[in-house]
Amino acid sequence: MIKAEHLVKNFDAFCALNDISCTINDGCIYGMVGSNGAGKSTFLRVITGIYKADEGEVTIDGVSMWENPAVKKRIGYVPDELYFLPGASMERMAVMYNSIYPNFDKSRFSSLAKQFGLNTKQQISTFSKGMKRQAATILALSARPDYIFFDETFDGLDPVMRNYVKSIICEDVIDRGATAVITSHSLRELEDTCDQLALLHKGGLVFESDIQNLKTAQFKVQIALRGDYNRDFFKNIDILHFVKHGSVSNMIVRGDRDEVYAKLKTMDPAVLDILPLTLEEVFTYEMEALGYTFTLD
Amino acid sequence: MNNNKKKLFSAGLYAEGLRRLKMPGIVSAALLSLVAVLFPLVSVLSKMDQPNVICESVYGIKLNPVLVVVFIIVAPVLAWTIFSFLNKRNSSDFFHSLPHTRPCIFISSVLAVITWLAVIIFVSGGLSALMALIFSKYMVIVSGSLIKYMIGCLSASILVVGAVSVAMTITGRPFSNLVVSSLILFFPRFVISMITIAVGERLPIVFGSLFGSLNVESLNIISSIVLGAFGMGSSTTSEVLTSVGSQIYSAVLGILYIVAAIFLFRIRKSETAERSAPNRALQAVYRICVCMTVCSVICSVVFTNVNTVEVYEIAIAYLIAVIVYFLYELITTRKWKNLVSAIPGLAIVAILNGAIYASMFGIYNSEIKFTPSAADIESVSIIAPEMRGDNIYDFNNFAALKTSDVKITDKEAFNAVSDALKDNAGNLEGKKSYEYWSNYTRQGASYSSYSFLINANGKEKKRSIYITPEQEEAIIKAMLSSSEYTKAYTTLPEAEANTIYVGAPIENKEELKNIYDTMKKEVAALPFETWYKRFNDYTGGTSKQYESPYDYITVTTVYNNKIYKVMIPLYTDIMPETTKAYIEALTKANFADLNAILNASPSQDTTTVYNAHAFIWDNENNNYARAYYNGSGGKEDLDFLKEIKRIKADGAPSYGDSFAIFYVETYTDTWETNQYIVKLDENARETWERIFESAEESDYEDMIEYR
Repeated sequence: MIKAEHLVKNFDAFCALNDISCTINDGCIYGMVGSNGAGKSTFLRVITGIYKADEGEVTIDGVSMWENPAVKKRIGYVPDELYFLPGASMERMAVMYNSIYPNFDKSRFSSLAKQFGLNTKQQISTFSKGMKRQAATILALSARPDYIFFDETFDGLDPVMRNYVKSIICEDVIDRGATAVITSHSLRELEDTCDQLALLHKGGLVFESDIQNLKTAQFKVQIALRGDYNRDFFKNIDILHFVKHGSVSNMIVRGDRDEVYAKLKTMDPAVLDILPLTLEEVFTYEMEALGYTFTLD
Repeated sequence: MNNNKKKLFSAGLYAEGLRRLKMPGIVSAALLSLVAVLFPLVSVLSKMDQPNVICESVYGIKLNPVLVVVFIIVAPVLAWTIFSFLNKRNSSDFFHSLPHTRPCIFISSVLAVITWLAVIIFVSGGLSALMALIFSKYMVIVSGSLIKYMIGCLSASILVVGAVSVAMTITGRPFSNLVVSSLILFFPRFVISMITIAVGERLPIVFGSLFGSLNVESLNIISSIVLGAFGMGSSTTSEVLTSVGSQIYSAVLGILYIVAAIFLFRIRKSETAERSAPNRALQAVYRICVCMTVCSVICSVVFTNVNTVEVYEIAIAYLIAVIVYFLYELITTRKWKNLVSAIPGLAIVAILNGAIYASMFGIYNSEIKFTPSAADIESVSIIAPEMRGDNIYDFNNFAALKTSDVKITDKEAFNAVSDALKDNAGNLEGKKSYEYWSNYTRQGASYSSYSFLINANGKEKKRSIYITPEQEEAIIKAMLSSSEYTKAYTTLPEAEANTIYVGAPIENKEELKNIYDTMKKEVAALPFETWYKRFNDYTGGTSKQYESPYDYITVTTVYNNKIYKVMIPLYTDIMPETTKAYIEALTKANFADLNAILNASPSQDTTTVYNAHAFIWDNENNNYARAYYNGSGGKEDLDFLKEIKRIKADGAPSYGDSFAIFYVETYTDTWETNQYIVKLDENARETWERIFESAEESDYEDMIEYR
């Protein structure tokens, strides 16, 4: 279990992480979204032990992460800005990983490289952006880490390859009980993969929840009542967002779907329709409710 | 888990480091190995054309001079390559994410660099040794000099690696890497040199290092060699590299830098990559140091020319320093707004300039006031003129060098030195240097310049001063009465193995050793006056040493960790045993060849020319009469051969025998000359008169007169 407690990280006057606390359970895929500059990459660098937090601490299974090789051995990290040795091929990088990571699995490396259709003897510098990302992912997964961190991993991957990478990550999580933390500025990338989602905004963790819960706990209601009415008319319902055009209102409601339906039905509506929300809509309305004006890319 | 945290070395990371440096390492090793083979090979090829092969004694740096490239170029390149990940955010993050502690990453990497450097040095140096072994007929390595040279190169490389690694841990851009590495390596020594030069210019009586006989400036191999190339040093590259003190100092300093770099690397933030400095304070330190390199030159020039420099010149110079100050900030941070925040740092620059001027005045006053009374002087030594290891020196110079260690403790000499020092200092104080010089070198003045190491009041100072003839006489008298001095003079240097050679073609090492050993014994048994006067009796304007030595014996010796080639004259009058050994060896060397020539059927061979010198030695005066026969080939030369054969006595000439040195010049593709020694029989006078009809009149008369 990864536990981050009150993490603060400043770069001169700029506050990149502001008192972030979260818990990432083992065997889950934890998604982290946020706009550019929200602090996602900084958060990953802190929990992978690259940056030292100015305040707070990261522990894995109760052990401090900072300068702890025993814990770092269990970690794989695919950063946003990839690094390969100058002029290196994938084979050369595999040699390096093999000398550093005790669990590096050469057969898995070969098998994944074959599955991705990458030439392991070719210089990585000649690869396309997407191929480089695939190469980094293969290398990281071949180290068989217990915790694997992907920073904007799906950037530059075509839809087919994106789904393929997702399936491999899921395999690792399911088969080996690995834990994956994935950041993205695109919520759509994460909604079908992650178990848990967190939203970072201007260095703060503004929202964190189980995805299934998020999707079912909020929904859109279209309702038309006879006679004049306003938002106050629905006092016993938890409305996050309310818009009325003529006699028809659109509401984002939080709560138990059946209970809400039953309550609204008692109002004898002319029209009553309950629709599911996309994850992006859920986030947008949750943020509004928290007082943020938030738009995702 | 705790063990992992304490782990300082990882074999995997080390191996990875070696792999990352494979390309520059192999290229450097290959190039330097090629040079190690080519240098001796070219040298030998050039000697193969020469008729008389002289086995040259060479020392490490001469055998493989390019090995210095290891610490000048290869070491910084390898150190920069292995730590270049610190200059990019993505690579810095990558290496900081590795499952090793930072000290472990650093130590494993730095050891990989040092391993490559050691391999390059020892492969190239080893090949040099192998080449010397293969061509041992032409060259012999002065014992220990190659290994000392290689160790010196390795020490210097460790120092460079240490400095570069410190610089890279506290900077994050290539330009800053370069500037800060240079500052670490050279800045302190550069400022000290500027102060020393300025004080030395104002005080010409101050001689050598301001730090006394310690000569600390030469301890740092890198700064000593690099700044020495710009005239800011007193030791040669070879001397610095082979000095055990410099090797230890440089290696220890390099290790200390590496230890500091480990600490700095541990606290370094990965985000420092792509920034010129981790924080504004360090950025200010670099900026101020860069500016101070310019300022220290200005301080030095102003202090030296305090009476002549104009205010506007100083203002322009400092304006340039300020421009450098801001330019560094602009280049490294690329932000105009940072120039404003850099302004307060100029106050520190001003304070440091004040400190440099204050130290210059302080040292000046302290040095000029060193005028001990005779009672305060504990000892005085005469410092010999600077001798560079590369050249060949007369024995007299070498003897003077040896006597530099002899401490004079004579009261009269102390009085002379004390008076002279007071006089020199008095003439210098408040005056310009040229006024001081002109006082002692003016027309009619009869001062002599001497350099002394004066030990007084617990201080040891070197002074170069002018002394009067009376003072000189007192000092020389004291010197000559010292048994240490006479011993230094009459003890010939110990020759390095196989480094003895003479002008004649004697190549047998055992014979040469025997000649030199005989000479050492004879000189040791000579009365000091006899031997000393041979070099220092200038009656008639020239030293006796230039009068007719039969030959010179040249030996390579190591003295005070420096290598010298010394020429010792062979005087037949005072060295009969040596002369005998010499002539015997020479005869033995060419007796068979000589007989072959003399017994050959004479033919009208126009490509062979026979010349001869005939000598009769005057044993008492080490003088000789001589005559020449200059052949031109053809019938006359054949007649000459017949005569030589007729008057030749069997066996080698002994001391006092008459003999001829007989030259045969043969032309094939080029002219080749061989010389042979011919003992002449007792009844050869008439024959000589006939043969040497082309002899010069005076020599011929001398010869006749002597017989």
